Amino acid sequence: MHHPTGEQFSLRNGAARAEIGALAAVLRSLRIGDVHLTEPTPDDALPSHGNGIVMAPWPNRVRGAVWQLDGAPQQLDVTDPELGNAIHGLLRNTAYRERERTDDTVTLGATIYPQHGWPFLLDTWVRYALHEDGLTVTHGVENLGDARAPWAVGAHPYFRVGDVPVEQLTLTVSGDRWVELDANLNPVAEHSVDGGLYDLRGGRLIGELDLNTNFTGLTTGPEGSARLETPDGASLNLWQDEPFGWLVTYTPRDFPGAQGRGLAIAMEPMTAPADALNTGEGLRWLEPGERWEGSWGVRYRSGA
Amino acid sequence: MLTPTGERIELENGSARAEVGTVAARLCMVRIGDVAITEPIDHDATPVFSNGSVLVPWPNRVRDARWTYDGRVLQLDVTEPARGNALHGLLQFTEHEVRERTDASVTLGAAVPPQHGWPFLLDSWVRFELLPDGIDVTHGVVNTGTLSAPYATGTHPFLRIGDIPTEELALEVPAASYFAVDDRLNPTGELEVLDTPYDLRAPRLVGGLELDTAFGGLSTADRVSATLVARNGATLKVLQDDDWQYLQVFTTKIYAGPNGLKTAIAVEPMTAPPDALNSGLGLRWLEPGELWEGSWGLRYAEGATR
Repeated sequence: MHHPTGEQFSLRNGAARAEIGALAAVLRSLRIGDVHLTEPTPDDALPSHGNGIVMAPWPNRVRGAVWQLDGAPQQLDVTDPELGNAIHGLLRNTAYRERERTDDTVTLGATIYPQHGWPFLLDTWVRYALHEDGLTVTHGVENLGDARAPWAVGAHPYFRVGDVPVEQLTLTVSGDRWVELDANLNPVAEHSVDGGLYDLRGGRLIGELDLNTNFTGLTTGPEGSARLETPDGASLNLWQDEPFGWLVTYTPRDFPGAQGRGLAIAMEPMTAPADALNTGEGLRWLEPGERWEGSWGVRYRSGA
Repeated sequence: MLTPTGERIELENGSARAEVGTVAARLCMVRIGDVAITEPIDHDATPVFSNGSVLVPWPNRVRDARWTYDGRVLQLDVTEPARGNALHGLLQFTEHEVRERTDASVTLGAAVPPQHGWPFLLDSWVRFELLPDGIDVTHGVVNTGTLSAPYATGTHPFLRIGDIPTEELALEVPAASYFAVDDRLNPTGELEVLDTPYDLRAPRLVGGLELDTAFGGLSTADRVSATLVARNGATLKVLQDDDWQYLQVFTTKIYAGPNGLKTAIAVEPMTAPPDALNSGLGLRWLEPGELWEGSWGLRYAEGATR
């Protein structure tokens, strides 16, 4: 069978299983035993709503699909035509290739070639390492060109905790600031979450939330940046290395699930916020030959 | 070596040499002896004006980057933002894999995955076969998806004859019709070339042409769809199989060469005219599992005097 997401890679470790597709190095499925930790993408489908894709060399949007390099405007392809932006980087339609593989790990690589609005040559890779209780995802890059190049990266997983309806999960986000967006979903200001709608530090039921919200001021490191919890105490902990200083949470209500369209939650670790190519925030400039790696991951704990 | 055009594959046959880049299955260089017959792309250069790129699954433009499939309007990515269109298909920046290789030939392949405005899955390939006096290029596709899928293809070589200034070459195109375009270069109609500046059935100097024009009504003898002729009698012929009924010609005076800006000409064999996803002209619908192949080529002959 020819799969819409290209070559498939299956990982196993104890009762844990992960499925990864070559297209956009997409995380198609992650489960511990029969407890699904992500919204699975069916074999015959493209990922819906960006489910599980890698976003490089920038996550989220570039305002108007234009940015400035040394004073010269760079016109990217408009990949978010409805809102006139460039969205989710340049590898969304690229088949990664296998570089290393064991039973519980796979490293997939893809070169980013010079193209419209992007005069750089980068080697990029993604390493998925499956654990008995979760997953570690490491993103890497090396600048193969002769000019310094901007870099940011993110991932777009939709999480769940088994069959518990997403409405009934409690979402906790450690971020103490949130980013206000304009009508085209580009950032205009950053605010404290204190006591407001986006103060999720104490946890809120997802059914009561309507989010397409970029958080920062997160707790990075092994302690965890955000958490999903079921009524019976099972939890999924998201952790982000220090360079992954931003998290987008997104709660579409038209996500196609096994029982029809409904609520889902994307939790997107990112090294930079939306429109970083223009604001410079979180953007890393790589010298020729320079390499970078950073990780995020999830850990599952069963309930009472 | 990895270049902005991907891995470079070198071909040889007799005194002929060619280089193909894996990104966009790009024809980066062809020469017969010391006579370059395409504008070469240096190893460290990023191609300009889509030089040498394969165009799949449509050549040229899709108006407004939108088309209608099965009663639904599909929105493609806008890959020509200045004019609001989708340009040159979906493989412009896609790295191809090497599938077959001999000294004189190489086959490069890539999947066209489902994406914005394109719910189909295709496997696409391009086979380059270098000849002592030119090159044959075969484009192939198989529909690996579950839906009947539209398909058209084209190619974007810039031609030259050695070091002769391109403006001094004469171009002949046996085309009875051309496509008029609006200010965003989308077609408004197919018209007769008779008594228009687009009548190239008798040779005209490239220096006097200003074209970004699709031609139809080709009356090809021996597959020849265009001929460039130098004053010394050297000729470069463009060949097209029966399935390739269209030809785009693009001239520019600002092509960036090693010695600055210059005149250059792209002669682009196509299986469909601009905006075929909307007009249906030349568009081939492939059933699941269906395969298609078709070829174009270049042939060089030196003149009586050199």
